[in-house]
Amino acid sequence: MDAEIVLLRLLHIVPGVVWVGSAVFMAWVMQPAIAKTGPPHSGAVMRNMVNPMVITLHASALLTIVIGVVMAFRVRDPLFDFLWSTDWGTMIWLGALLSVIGYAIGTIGGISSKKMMDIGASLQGPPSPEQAAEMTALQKRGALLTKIASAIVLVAVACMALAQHV
Amino acid sequence: MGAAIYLAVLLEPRIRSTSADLERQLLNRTSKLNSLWITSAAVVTMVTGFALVSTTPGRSMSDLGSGGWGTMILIGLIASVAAFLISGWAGAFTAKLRRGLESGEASETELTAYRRGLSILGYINAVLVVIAVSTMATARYA
Repeated sequence: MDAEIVLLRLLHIVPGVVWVGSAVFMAWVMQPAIAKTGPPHSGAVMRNMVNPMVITLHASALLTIVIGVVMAFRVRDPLFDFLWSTDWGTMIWLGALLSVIGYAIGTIGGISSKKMMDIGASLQGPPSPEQAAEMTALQKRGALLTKIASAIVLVAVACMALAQHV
Repeated sequence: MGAAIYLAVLLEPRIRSTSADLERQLLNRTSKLNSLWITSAAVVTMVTGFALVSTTPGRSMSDLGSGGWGTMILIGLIASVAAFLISGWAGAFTAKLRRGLESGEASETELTAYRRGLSILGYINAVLVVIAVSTMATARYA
């Protein structure tokens, strides 16, 4: 058993599964369900969840990406020759690119949701029509970006999973 | 797996730390959808996993349990089936909790027992799916 590769695979695949599974579940199941409950419940849940959720998603995403890069250098030497000249390489760099794009879009979506929660938290009473409109727009943008990000990281997983077999 | 961990570690403890009214509303909105989502994902994963074992060149179902690869895949398979069953059991606790909150007939002791059961099963489920993924991911190198 190659202990180094086993460890790298564990540190890449397990956080990757947590990241992608959480992102897809949050975007397509939880967020729509919480939004349907409406204020004040949706705000209360999101405020309560935002810190652990952000830590989990960022930590698992960054670990997946960083260890993925390390593993790519470890399994193919010289990596850059393989990246540009083989089908394996094409799938790997495509998957890596999509995962970084997905992560970036998800982060922007998270910032929109955070802005919406900040507005909600600063309210002393019911929101003014302008504030309500801004919160709705931010919520819609956050939800849309989270869905796009989750779809992109799913495609990234597919690229990585199929790389060996193309 | 991500959804299972998300539910067990992030969502459910946070929902429980809010209010019973919020917990009831969220369970009404999400519990059936969660079960459907997780069950569908688990079934698709397990069925395609079996198909993959039988279609992988040089491997077959008879290899399960023998050799490094077969042992790791078998452990992963057992862990995933156990996780699936535990997830169903947790679903039953969720349904009891939801009905208890909705009807208002369940005592606080019963609700606490349902919450505790749900929490324990959620964590066991999360650990089992991590074991399943880890063994499957490293089987080739065993």
